[in-house]
Amino acid sequence: MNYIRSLLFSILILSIASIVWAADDPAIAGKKLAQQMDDVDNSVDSISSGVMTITRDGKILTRSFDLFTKQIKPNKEEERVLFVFNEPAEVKGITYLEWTYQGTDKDDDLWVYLPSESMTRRISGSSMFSSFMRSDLANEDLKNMDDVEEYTYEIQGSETVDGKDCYILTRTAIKQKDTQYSRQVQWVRKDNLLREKIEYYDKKNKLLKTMYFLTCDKIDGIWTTTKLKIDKADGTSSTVVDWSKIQYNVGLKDQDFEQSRLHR
Amino acid sequence: MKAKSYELIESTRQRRARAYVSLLSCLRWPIIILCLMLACLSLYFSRNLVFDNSNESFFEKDDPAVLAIERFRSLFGNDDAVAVAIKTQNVFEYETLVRIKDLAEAIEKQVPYLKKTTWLGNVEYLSGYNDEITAAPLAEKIPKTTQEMNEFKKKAMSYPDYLNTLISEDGKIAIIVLECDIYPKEVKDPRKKIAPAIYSILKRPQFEALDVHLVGAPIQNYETNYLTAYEAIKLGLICLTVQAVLLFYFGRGLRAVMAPIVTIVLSIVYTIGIIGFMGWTLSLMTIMLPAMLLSVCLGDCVHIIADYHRHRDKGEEHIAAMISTIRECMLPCLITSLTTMLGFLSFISTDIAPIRMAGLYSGIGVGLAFILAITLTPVAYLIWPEKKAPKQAPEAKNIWLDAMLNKLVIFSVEHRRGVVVFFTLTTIVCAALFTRLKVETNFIKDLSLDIQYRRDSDFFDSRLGGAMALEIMVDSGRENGARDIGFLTDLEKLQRYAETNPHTKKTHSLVDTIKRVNEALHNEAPGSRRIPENQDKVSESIFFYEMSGGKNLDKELSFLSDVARVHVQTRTMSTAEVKAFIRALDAFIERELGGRLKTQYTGQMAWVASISDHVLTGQVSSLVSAAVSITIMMILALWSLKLGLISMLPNIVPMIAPFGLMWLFNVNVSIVLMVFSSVVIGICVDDTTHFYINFKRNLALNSDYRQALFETILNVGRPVTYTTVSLVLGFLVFALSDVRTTIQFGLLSCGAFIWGWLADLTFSPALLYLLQPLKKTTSVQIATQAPTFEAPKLSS
Repeated sequence: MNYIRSLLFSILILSIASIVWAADDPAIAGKKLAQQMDDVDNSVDSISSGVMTITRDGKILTRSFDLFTKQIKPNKEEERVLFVFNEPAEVKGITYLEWTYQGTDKDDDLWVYLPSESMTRRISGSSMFSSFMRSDLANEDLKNMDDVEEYTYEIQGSETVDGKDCYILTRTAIKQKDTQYSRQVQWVRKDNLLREKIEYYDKKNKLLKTMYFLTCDKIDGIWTTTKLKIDKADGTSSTVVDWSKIQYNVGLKDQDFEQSRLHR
Repeated sequence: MKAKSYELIESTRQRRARAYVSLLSCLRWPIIILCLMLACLSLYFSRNLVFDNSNESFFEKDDPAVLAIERFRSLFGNDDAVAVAIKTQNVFEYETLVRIKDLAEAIEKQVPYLKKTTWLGNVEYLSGYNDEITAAPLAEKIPKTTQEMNEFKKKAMSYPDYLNTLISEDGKIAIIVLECDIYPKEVKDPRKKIAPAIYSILKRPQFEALDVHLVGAPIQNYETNYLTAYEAIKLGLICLTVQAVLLFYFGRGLRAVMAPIVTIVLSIVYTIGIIGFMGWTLSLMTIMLPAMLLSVCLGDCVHIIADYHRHRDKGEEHIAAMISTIRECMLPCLITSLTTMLGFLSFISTDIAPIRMAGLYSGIGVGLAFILAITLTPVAYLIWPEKKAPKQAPEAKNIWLDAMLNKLVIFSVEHRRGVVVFFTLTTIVCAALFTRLKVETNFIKDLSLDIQYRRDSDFFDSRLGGAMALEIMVDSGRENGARDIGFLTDLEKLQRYAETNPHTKKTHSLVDTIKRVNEALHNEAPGSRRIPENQDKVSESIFFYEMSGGKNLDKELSFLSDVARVHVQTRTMSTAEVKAFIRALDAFIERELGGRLKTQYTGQMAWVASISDHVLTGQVSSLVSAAVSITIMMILALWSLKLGLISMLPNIVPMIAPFGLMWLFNVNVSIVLMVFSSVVIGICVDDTTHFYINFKRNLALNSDYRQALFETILNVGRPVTYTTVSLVLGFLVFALSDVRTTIQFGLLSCGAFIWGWLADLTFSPALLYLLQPLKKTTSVQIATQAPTFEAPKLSS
């Protein structure tokens, strides 16, 4: 009897110890934090306008587009994003549709509609590595911001950035071949769980660029970044993205995100 | 009257010489210690030596060539790239591809400052089927089955952009292309770190057996830097040995060998120390520096030693002989050193930076060698004096030499008009031939086939897409103008024209990308590989390429889409061919495209063309500044306008004569040969100086031209002959170089020195006797036999 009691006691102690240990494990805590950050935006759909200003050697390029997003399945298992380009004038009307899937099992789907040819083409392959509209953003930066399952996480500690208390969270892609980064180090505000900045490191572990989240607002009850800036580490280029006309839960339909509707 | 004033000057010189020798005698040990300390300090600073053989190092920062490459880099990124060619039996085998993939990955991981590493497996492959565009690596996985491999091979060999860039036409050579990122400004010379990192990977056991060939600016720069150091040491040591043997043969014992060698080695060490201390750079132009200083600077020591022995042989005591030596040698040595310095410093008037610096280093070296020669050589003899004045019979070799020299003078004076006409005519003919010489500044073909980089360059020329490239920046003049369909049509015409050149292997521009995107958008339909028919479609094709993962746009189109790049890959071309090619492109734009395209050229071919533009002007400017400054120096040294001008004639002769040799042996004017004439005049004038100063002194004492000429030959004939032999043998060492232009420099210099020696001993007496510039003399009977004299031993 004493033997069984001792065994039960040992199991209890071990269980408590493992719970305490798990709570302190930076990887588990990191993933939990990432999940919480992802949950900040709990909208079903959204509309916004983006203006991107790219500066290189004092020369400036401006790009503008409207952005539509929709969660198709619960828990962000499947998300659809539609870009409609407005500027420069020569590409006005080109639309870019992206279906993204949570996790690493299924590749995302992309389509582009070219109005002068009245032509829709599916894109596959390695477009994620390339630059988004000649900016300092890569396509994968836009897509993978909140794809929790595709990364491992680790909390490195805390630090105050511009007067804001932040977690330092490192994330590493599980499928290294699908990314050009070896790791990303994020500073996450403790008050609203928005990012304050992200450092991107290349496969040689050299800092490539830093993304700064400059302003944020609470829009329709959701904390939202409204302006961000990306500086290349070598100082050769920078990009500022201004978001405006942001609305959440406006009732976009699933059909609006079908490739067959791109020619509208 | 003149003889008396001359005696007065001599007396003043005697007092000064005595004071100087006394000073050296008192301070001989402190001088030795000081020299050793300075040598240690110089060796310490030589740790900081920096080698730079980059294209940019040739020009000023505001030179159009430098501005062009800077513009190119700001528009399209770093143009530095390395091509790693791997020769195999068949690239399309599983194990071979795995090995190449491993190598590419190792390079990508380990080699610094790379932006992108591309090989056949990971190269971007754009395809369009069933309304789906795929922009993906050509092989996500290495094909295993025969069918997969055949399919992979078919795709690889059918895409023109890959051929000779990533795979040879016979499928036996694979190429890994390494594109460099913009180098960080805070890192000192990052380019130099690329080649050693690649070599270190290639030495790993799994890659050691690969037959690899490397080309590209970072490799060329590294190999040239290595060659610079290796050649400088090799040629310097050989020259040192040759000069030591010569000194031993002509000299009197170990001291006559050691004193000059130590003097010159110290002057070289000090020069290198100063270069290191100042943070100056060394280039391929400086590989001749140690050997040249060894050969050129020995003259002062030799004259001092020879004079000392001549006075001892006359029966003077040790200190008295040294005083006499200093009295007679100080001024000629000072003047000859100054004229040689002026010859080298004349390089500063050229527009090519490494040449300017080589002139400065040589000038410093000559100056230091003079200071050391007039201190260390007497000090060596003061510390280690000869016990007694030797009384020796003249050696057979000296009797023969003296007799020959005397006969030369007799001949020159007897046939003075003929001799003058001969030298004048040959010089005019050689000067005329100068205008027919070609300029060649393509450095690669100057390297010996023993050099791996030369062999690798030839390998790329013969088996792949060539080792040279021309980058054309085509400016539309307005933002987004390079996306204009009219502009792109002109750009394509320019490309097609560039491809008509027999040396062109391939061209690439934004037009190729647009045509390829159009083809993919139209499901690879036949005939769809073309520029789309209207502006909207062109704009959308470019945008589509951007959005679909196209990675090359930044390399083909400027940020504001105002400038497009055309890359022209060619076999190695000569400077004349490069310049003709660029002229033809410009003419085509004017003739066929109505001058609509505004072009600017850069890349290796443009460097070659730009350097050549500076070569002829540099040659003329350095030559004129050397000749003018040396003439002024000679007029001052001889204190006679007429004699000074006459003394320059035997210097101009050897300076011009090699042009005839160059024409005869089809030698082109190169960067190294650009300053050849200035070096020759700077060196040849030394012997002329000794001859004319001695002649003037003898004429003042004898008042007779014939007697003065014979006395002069008696005094300086042998030293002049000896220094010429020493120079010729010293410069012959350059024939052992691995760089063709250095060999040419050495051989032509030898020719010039021999010609200069002949001019000194025949043209000078003929001129002086014919013109009699200082005073009139009575007609004399020319002796037909050499006067008898007791010949000094050491070439005096």
